[in-house]
This record gives sequence, structure tokens and C-alpha cells, in this order.
Amino acid sequence: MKPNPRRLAPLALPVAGAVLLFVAPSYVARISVLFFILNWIVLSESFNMFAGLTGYVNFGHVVFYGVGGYIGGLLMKNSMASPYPAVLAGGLGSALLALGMSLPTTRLRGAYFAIATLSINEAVFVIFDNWEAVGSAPGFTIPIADYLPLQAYYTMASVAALCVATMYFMTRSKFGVAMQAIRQQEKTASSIGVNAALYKTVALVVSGFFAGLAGALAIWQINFIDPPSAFDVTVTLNSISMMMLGGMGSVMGPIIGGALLYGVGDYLDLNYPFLHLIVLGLVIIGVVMAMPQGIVGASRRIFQRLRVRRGEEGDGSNSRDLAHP
Amino acid sequence: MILPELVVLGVAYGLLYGVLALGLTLVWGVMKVVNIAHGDFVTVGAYSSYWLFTLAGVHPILSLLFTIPFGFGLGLLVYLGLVRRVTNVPELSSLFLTFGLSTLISSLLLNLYSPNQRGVPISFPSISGLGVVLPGSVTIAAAYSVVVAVLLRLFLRRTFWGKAIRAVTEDRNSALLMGINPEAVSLLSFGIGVAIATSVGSIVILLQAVTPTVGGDFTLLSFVIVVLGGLGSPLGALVGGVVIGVVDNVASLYLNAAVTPAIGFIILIVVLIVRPSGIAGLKAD
Repeated sequence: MKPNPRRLAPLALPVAGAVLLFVAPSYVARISVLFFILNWIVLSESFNMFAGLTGYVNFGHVVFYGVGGYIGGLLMKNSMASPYPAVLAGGLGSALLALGMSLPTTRLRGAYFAIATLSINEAVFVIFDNWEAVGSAPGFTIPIADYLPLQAYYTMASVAALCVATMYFMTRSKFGVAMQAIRQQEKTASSIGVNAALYKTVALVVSGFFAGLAGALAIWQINFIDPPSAFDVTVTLNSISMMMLGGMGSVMGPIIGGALLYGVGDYLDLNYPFLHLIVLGLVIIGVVMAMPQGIVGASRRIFQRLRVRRGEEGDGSNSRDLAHP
Repeated sequence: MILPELVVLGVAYGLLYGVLALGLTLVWGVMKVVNIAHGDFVTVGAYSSYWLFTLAGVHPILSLLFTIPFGFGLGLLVYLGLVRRVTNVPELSSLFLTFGLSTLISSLLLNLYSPNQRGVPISFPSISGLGVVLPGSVTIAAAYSVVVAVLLRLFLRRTFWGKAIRAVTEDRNSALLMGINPEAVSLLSFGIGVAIATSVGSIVILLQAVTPTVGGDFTLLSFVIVVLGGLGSPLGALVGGVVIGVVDNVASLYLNAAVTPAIGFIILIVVLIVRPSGIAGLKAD
């Protein structure tokens, strides 16, 4: 059977992305910059997995990141073993936490959910800030004796690729259709047999898993963790703004938003420490007001308009995208 | 006799918290917008009073004459410029918008005034009676809260616009059919909500030093209270405020000071699970 070039076309982007991730360290002097761009993409994409798909805002997203960081960090510090199982344990620990969190919270609607998650963030911070066994307020460092930047980078890159792929399959499956139903009409969806609580739980657990991996990876890179940095609302803020800027609910959104905002943020942070936050605030407000679907949605609309003008309307390519009805 | 003193202190603080939460619940009731920037307007009020005192020697209590109309005007502007656009769309947009606004306000203050703590060096004579000593500033806070709560109640019960706010809170569409303009009511209630927050800021500067990022704490506190009392219920907000104030202060007697902030959130989470309509059960929506 001859391969159809049209069917292979969708593979071009992921393959190009993988190649780019693989060769990037040879061309960029500061590998840590690449590492953190990918770390933010994972954080933002995992936020998107829940918010973008279900329409619920988890203002406690950073809790997964922080708890994953603590689990991973403690394992790396105490066992001195290879960091891979530590990172995986961070992700699994946060997934478990997400499961626990989902029990009470998935029954809550809209604003109540947002408020509950915001308070969970606060409560978890206070717990870790007072927990002697995990270093309480001063936090702890992990030995950096056998730390290899490339090893950390390639692990980060693999996690990022896996995270984006997961989001892709979540949006383009039966799961994605159920999510769309929940987002638009939760009561109706439930009444026709969509188990809304179950789907929301699955989305939150997967989201927690990836955010936990990102947290454990971050401590591998930074070698240090303390409660204010591990449970900083700014991390959630960043994840939200990156997702919003790129395009909520779309697979590509957090990648575009993450790369752009991390780049801008990194520059601003170095030169004008507090200006960074103003930019994030403006980005969120601006996107909500002017382009609710972010860069992805805006460019999609532009392309559509061009296509209509050229008379190529209705090739069906957009009907596949569940995230943007 | 430290326990009764803590209870009285808790009630006094609780009244102020309750009034702050009133602003949040009013806005939620009318337009179903949870204003995450609510606490940041407290910071704006506190900084306004701080600067009026530091630069012009205006007493913070006197500066209420500025912060109330200023907050009201600010609220109108924010509503017309931003919030109006997200009132009839999925909740997600308004949550994101006010979250962005909160970030913007606190980071603007950070850039303008640095992260240093600011406070006013004013002390008031303590009030004592029935074997209980209450700091003067706390007494003022409680008195101010009672005045605002009474005025707000009179406004909501006796005036046309107050009744209109209640009508829209109860049923927006029916209110519209009765010839009430929900847009105007939303505008008014957002103005009042922000004015309450900024005026509470003027009182807060008497009680504690503030930093640009303290707003998030006030937002969370208001959330806890509002959920305790039931979103959209003014009376519930006051009850919730007093409950949180008392629990907070009494708990400090038995628990490590670092842990007490978590108590409110634990109460909140439990209430959300057990009884999402609030303990007062005065659900308005």
C-alpha cells in the first residue's frame, strides 16, 4: 500500500517537535532556559487538561507541583538513588493527591470549586510550612554531586512530549466528547448517562500527575525546595496566563503561550523584577477581553477567513477539533 | 480571663471581616461574578489612607471621606471597562479576569511602593468594661463595621435602588420584566462592593501594617466567610465573619500561631463538602 501524503501530514508537526527538542541543547548555551520552558509548558498543559477540558478553574494547581517536588526531592535527598524513580514517584504522589482532592471537590460547581481549590492551596502551604520532617519553613537542598544538565533536560523533554501527546489524545477521543458535553451542559450530560464526576476525576488525576512530574523535575534542576516557592500562587498564575495566551482547550495553546511568556518573563525578571507580574496580569485581562480563544483561536479564525475568501470553505478540518466547537 | 477577651476581640475583627465579605457577596448575588480582586481593593484603600496620612497628615478615619467615593468611582470604572463584558458568559471568564486584575493591582503597587510593610503610627486608648480590655483601634473597626452594616441594610430595605439590587439578586429576568435595569444595578453594586473594600482598607491600616500583596489574604478570608454564610446572603456574611473571627482568635490560644491561618480554610473545605449552601443556609441563588 502506498502511503498517502495527506495522511502523513499530521505527523509532520510532532516529528519536527521531537527533532527540535533533541537537537536544541547543541544550539542553546543555557540549557536551563530550555529546561524551564518545557517545565512551564508541562505545567500549563496540565492545567489545560483540567480547565480547558472541563471548564473548571483549579486555582490550586501549584499544589500538585509543590507536592511532586517535595516527594521527588525527599527521595533524591534520602536515598541518593537515580533521580528517575524519584521523579516518577513525585508524579504518582500528586496523582494520588489529585484523586483525594477530587472526592470532595468534583461535586462543587463553578465558583465554589475555584474557591475550594484556592483554599486547599493555602492549607497545604501552611501544613508544609510547619512540618518539621520535611524541613518546615527553611526547606531543604538536595546533593548535586551527580547532576548532569543534559540528563535532566532530556527527561524533561520526554515528559513534555508525553504530556502534549496525552492532551492530544484526551481531546480527540470519546473522553474528549464527554468533556465537551460536561463543559457545555453538565446537568444535561449527567442526565443522559455521562458520569461527570468520574470524567472530572480522571482529568484532575492526569493533570495532577503531569504537574507533579514537573515539580519533581524542577527540584532536580534547582536542587532546592521550600514552601513559599513550592506552593507559590504565581506558579498557578503563570500556568493560567500561558494557557490563556496560547489558547484554552487547545493542544498547541500552552506550548505557544509557555514559550512566549517564559521568554518575556525571563527577560523581564532579570531586568525589571516586579514588572513581570504586571505583564502577566495584563495578558490575562487582555486575552479574556479581546481574544478568549487565545493565539490559537485567533489565528484559526484568520485562516478560516482567508479560506472562505479563496472559496475553499468546508473541508471539514475544523469539525474534528472538539476543544473549539 | 483571657478567653472572654479573645472572644470579644474575635467578634470585633469578625464584624470587620463580615462587612468586607458583604461587598463580595453583594457583587456575587447581582452578577454571579466572584471578584478575586476584592482583597486587592482593600490594599488600594489601605495605601490611599497610608499616603494621605504620611504626606498630608490626614487621619485614616478622616480619609474614609476619600476612600469611599474613590472606591465607588474605581468600582464603576472597573465595571464599565472590564467586568461588564464577562457577566453573561461562562464563569470561567470572570474568574480569570478578576484573577488577572488582582495580579495587576498588587504588582502595580509593588512597582510603585516596593514590598516594604507600611503602617501608620497612631494609637488609641483601650476600651475596658466587664473585665475585658479591647484595643481602641479594634473598637473603631467594630464600630465602623456596625455602621456600614446598618446603613447597607437600610439601603437594601428602604430605597428603590436597594430593593432593585435585591430583586436582581433574586431573579434577574423577572426584575428585568418589572422594569429594573440589571445593567445599572450591576454597575451600582460593583461600585458599592469596591467602596466597601477600599473603606475597609482605611480601617485595616489602623490595625496592621500592609504590603502590596496582602490583598490575596483578604480575598481568601472573604471567600471563607461568604461560603460559610452562603454565597449571596448579606446576613450570612456577617454571621460567617463573626464565626471566623472568634474561631481564629480563640484558636490562637491553643494552637501554634503559624497554624491558625489554616483553620479557616479547613473549616471552609469541610463546609463546602458537608453543606455547600453555607451554615446560615440563607442561600440567595
